[in-house]
This record gives sequence, structure tokens and C-alpha cells, in this order.
Amino acid sequence: MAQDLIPVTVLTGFLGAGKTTLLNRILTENHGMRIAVIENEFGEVGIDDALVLASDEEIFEMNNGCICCTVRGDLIRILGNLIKRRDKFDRIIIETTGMADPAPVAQTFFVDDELKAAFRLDAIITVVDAKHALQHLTEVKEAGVENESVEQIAFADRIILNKMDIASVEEQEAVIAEIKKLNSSVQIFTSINADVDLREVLDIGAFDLQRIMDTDPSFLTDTDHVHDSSISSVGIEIDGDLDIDKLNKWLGVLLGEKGTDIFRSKGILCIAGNEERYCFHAVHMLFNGEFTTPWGDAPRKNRMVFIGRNLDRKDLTESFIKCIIKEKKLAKSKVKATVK
Amino acid sequence: MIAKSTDTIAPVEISPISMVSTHGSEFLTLDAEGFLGQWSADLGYRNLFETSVGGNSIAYSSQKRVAAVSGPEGIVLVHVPTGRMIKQVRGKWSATSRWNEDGTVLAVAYGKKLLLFSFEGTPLFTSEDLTSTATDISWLADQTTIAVATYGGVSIIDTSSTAPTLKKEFIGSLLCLAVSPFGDWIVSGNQDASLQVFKVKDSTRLEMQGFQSKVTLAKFDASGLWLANNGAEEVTVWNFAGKGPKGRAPVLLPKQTNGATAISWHPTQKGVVATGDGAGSVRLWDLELGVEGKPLLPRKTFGKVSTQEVRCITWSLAGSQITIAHADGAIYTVKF
Repeated sequence: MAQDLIPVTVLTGFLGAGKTTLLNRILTENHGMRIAVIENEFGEVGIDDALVLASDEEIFEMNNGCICCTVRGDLIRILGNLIKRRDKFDRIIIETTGMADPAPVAQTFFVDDELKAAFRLDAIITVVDAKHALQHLTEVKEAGVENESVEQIAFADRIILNKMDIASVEEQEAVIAEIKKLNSSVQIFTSINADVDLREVLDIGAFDLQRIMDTDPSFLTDTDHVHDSSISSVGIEIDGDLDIDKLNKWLGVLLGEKGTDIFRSKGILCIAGNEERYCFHAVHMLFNGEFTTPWGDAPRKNRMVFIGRNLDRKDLTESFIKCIIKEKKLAKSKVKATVK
Repeated sequence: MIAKSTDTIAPVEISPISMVSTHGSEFLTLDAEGFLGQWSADLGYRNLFETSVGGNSIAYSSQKRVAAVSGPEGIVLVHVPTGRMIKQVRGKWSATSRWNEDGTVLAVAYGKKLLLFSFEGTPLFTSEDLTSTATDISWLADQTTIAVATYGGVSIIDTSSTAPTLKKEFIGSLLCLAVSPFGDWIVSGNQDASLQVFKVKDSTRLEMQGFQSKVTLAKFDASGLWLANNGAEEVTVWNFAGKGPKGRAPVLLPKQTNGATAISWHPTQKGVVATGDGAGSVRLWDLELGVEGKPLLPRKTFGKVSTQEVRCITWSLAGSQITIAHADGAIYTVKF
């Protein structure tokens, strides 16, 4: 049962953005929850009675033929130990280093059966320094070198835009615009000294297929913005019922061939002959989908978002349209695809 | 081998994750919090020592009566008769430790290093950094060389010299290590639901794939003929006679609910193994009674005292009794 699974929040953010401040705030707030923390360095969490385990980031490739399928070996070990003392805590927060790639952290919860049976990934929260983030986000790296701060934005379900008190209005607007370029569907909450309502940080259900729509009001927000960064998000919104076989084949090929560049994807789809919404999410090639709630009287509409590198809006949209069953082939005017 | 009695069913206030036989019907237990306790069928359970390193596994020197507790935050040596701490090293993940044959030297997986200590806690050896955190270790037959499992390989470390570490390249993340009693085979269980086999003599490699889940348990019997591993609903048992398991179909022990969670070979009898599963069942098997092409029947199915996962199955040193511990703290001993 999903409600019996222990929720796990992943806290990312560039060095000095305020991750540890937020973490200490979460631990000291009077919420009645017992939180186990996996931190990247001993002694950062200053709460004496907190259950804290330190990890040294160890990224392991999986021998499954998927070149982007990497996991965090250290987390598998630590979470495996925590399973055996699960009566001691209610939830887990994983604090990553400022340089960490969020993908292996998220993928760890997709590929390890023991962890899948015990934990549910709740959300990836990225803390951003409102004053200084822009210089990191726009930094040009050498060819082949990842800009970790960009990836942390691209992977995020929520952004905590921190240090608003020291950022000018112009700096705030510029960093928000840059974040939206990279990840148009992410929700942004502003803070000073990481002081945020914990309801905006915990129990988000970003990876919960039942809650994909409820928790993401800006999902597929339409904007006309086009930019030249290699990382972007592509939203597709289209009427019509999908041929499940064609859809499976399309997603299989798409994530198989371009999974390295597609960081995250999620969607709500109308499958021909089914009354329920089909919801999915994926991290790189690792995909999880199922039928959820009935459409009822709501208009049946397919909505998807892809976040990644070098995304081809036209190709994604056209290849997706081919999955619509022919009997309900739509007029071109009904198709709305956006690049953000 | 017929069970004479089911002696004791004693729920305790711990959820053991590791257990070792000390002597007679006495055992040491460890939980994930790092509580080291003593348990016997006659006296029940008592706390012996509360470590501050958490709990992953115990190793016990019966000669020196020293227990080594490995945990998420380090290693602790405890003198069992007095409950006195001998040595503590904190800061890095320690998955496991192993005593040498005469119980005087302890090999410890500590972060990315192999450490050696005397039973008195004196540091004897520190390896160079390995490729990742060590997940398992095993002394080889010469009692100076140690095999260490990490991501991507097994390091063969000669602790008696300054010779560089010899690394055997394995694929993927290694979770457990089994070295045959004579040191001729090195086997790893892997995160990628596979078993990798390395024949030391000629560097022959085998890989057994297709398990349903990661392989966390791989153990040779006392003779080195049989190796049992989990990774599926059935325990798989491989015959390592002669040229090894290549070309031989393994023996599949009938399905156990939620997969095998504990595998423990009899300390002296060839081919006798006890297995426990995720639903609390324990069965005893005798591979020597197997008939080719026919499913092996359990030699004994133990009375189920708990529906919780079997965490540990430990034979007494002489193999005359077996003690079983469940996740809910139910521990019981069966004498033969």
C-alpha cells in the first residue's frame, strides 16, 4: 500500500544556497514527525536527537544496458539499514552535495526492489540562492561538463528561492525567468533564511501517479517563451484517444534512444477504451505508469511535459500525434504544443 | 538429523539483524541501532553493550571472546565476558568484519579501506583507498591475503607485504562475497541480479544472470562443493566440484515466500543447509539426498513461530543445534 511506504524528500541546491538551513528548520519545527536525515557530510545537521546518517556519494552504473541508468550505491546501503529500523522514524530527507546530480538519487528508488517496497520518493526540492544563482545557471562549462546547478533546477519539483532579502528585484526577476526557462512546470516558493511553510516542502507527492494533477497546478502552463539554452521543457497538450500499443512503442523508443537527454517526463493520458486517466512519470529511461482516477465528466485531454537537453519540440509533438487512434484524428488546429 | 525439541520461543525487545554463536547454546545478537545482546535458550536475552556506530553485522572470536560490531558509522570491539569496549573507530561505513582462523586478527571493511586490528584493538594494517566502499571481505586460505568486494571488482590484498593490491575486475556493484574453503573460487552476489564467479587458478570467469532481484547472500558449504545464493523465490544451489558450475544446471530449492532472507550451511556436514524466508518459514535441506531431475524435498520444515522475515539462522559451533531469529524479535533454538 502506497500510504505505508516511507516518504523520501530529496533536498538539492548549489553550495551556500541554504539547504542545511532549511534542513535544520524542518528538524526543529514542531510538526510531530520523526525524520531521519541522510546528509552528505557529518555534523552539518545541528540537531542532537535527530537520526542522522552520513553518506559519501558513490554513483554506480547498472549493468542493464542503459547508459543513463546510474544509482547511488551509498543510498542503497544506508536506506537498507534504515528499513531495519523503520519504527524509529516517519520520513526521510536526503540532503545532497551542491555538486550532486539528482538523477542517480531518484533512479535509486526505481531500480532497487527492496527500496521500492519500503519507500516512496516524494519530491525533489531544490534550494536556490536568489542573489547568486544566476551566475551559476548561466555559467558556460567546457564541452561535456555538466552544469550541476542547471540540472538541479531541471530535476526539481519545487524550488525554494532563498535569500530574497539580499537580492534586488531585478535579480529576483532574472533568476525566476531563468528557472522557468529551464523547468516551466516547477513551482517556486520564495523565502528568507529558508523560512518556508513545511507544507510546501513535505508530502508533495510529485512521484505519486494519483497526485500528478492535483499537486502541480502549473503543469503544462502555456508560455510562448523560446530560448536558446540546451536544457528546456516541452509541453504537449492534445485531444484524442491513444492507441496503447503505439504509445508503448513510442515511449519505449523515445526513452530508449533519448533517455540520456530527457531528464524527467510526466503526463496524464487518455487511452482508448479506458475510462481512467493513465498517469506516468519517468527519470531518464526509468518509467513508471498506471491507470488512476476516472475521467468522469472532465474533458479527455492528453498532457505531457518533457524536461531535458536538446529537446526537439516538433519531433516530439509529431511523433506523439501518431499515437492517436486514426478514427479520432484531430484537426491540426486542435493541437497545442509549447516549448518553454 | 531429526529435531529433538523446539526449546525456546522468546520474543525480545530487539529486531536482530545479525547473530553469531558464542559457545553452547549462547548467542550474540545485534540490531540495526547497534545494541549488542546476549541470548541463550536457558537465560533469555540481556543487553551487553550499546554501540554508537549502529549495527550492520557481528563477528566473534571464540578464542579471544571478542565481538566486533560493524555499523553505518564505524566499528567497535567488545570483550564479551565483561562487556568492556576494547576499541572504537568511527566515521565511515563498516559493512562487515571477519576474524582470521585463530581469532587473533580482525579484518574490517571500513569505508574504502581494509583495516586489520589485533584482538586487543591494536591497528595492524591499513590498505590504500579502494574504488568504493567495501561491501564484504573474506580471508583467503593463507591467512594473510584478504579478498575485498567493492563496486567493479574484488581486490586481493596481501597484508603481509607492501605489494600493490591485485584487482579482479567484476561488473557492477558487488553486494556479497564468498570464497571457497580452499580459496580456489571467488564468487560475488551483485546488485544487478547476477552472480559472478572467478576461478583463481586460471582466471576463468562465469556470470550467472537472470535472477529476479539483487543477490545479497552467496555462501559456500564447509566442503566447498556447494554454493547457495538468493535473488529469487527459490534458493539456487550450484555444484562447484571439479571444473565448477559451468554447464551444470543448479539445484533450485522449492519456492519460499518473499524470497530467501537467510541461508546458513551446517558447520561441518557437507550439503546440509538451512534457509529462511520473508514470511517466517525455515527449512532444512540436504543436497546429498538430491536426485537429478527431481525436486529436492526439505529434510525438515521448522514450526513457524513468527510470520515476520527470518533475519538470522545460526548453527552452534558443533552443529548440534540451530537458532533462528525473526524481524519481530522472536528467537528460538532447535536441538538435534
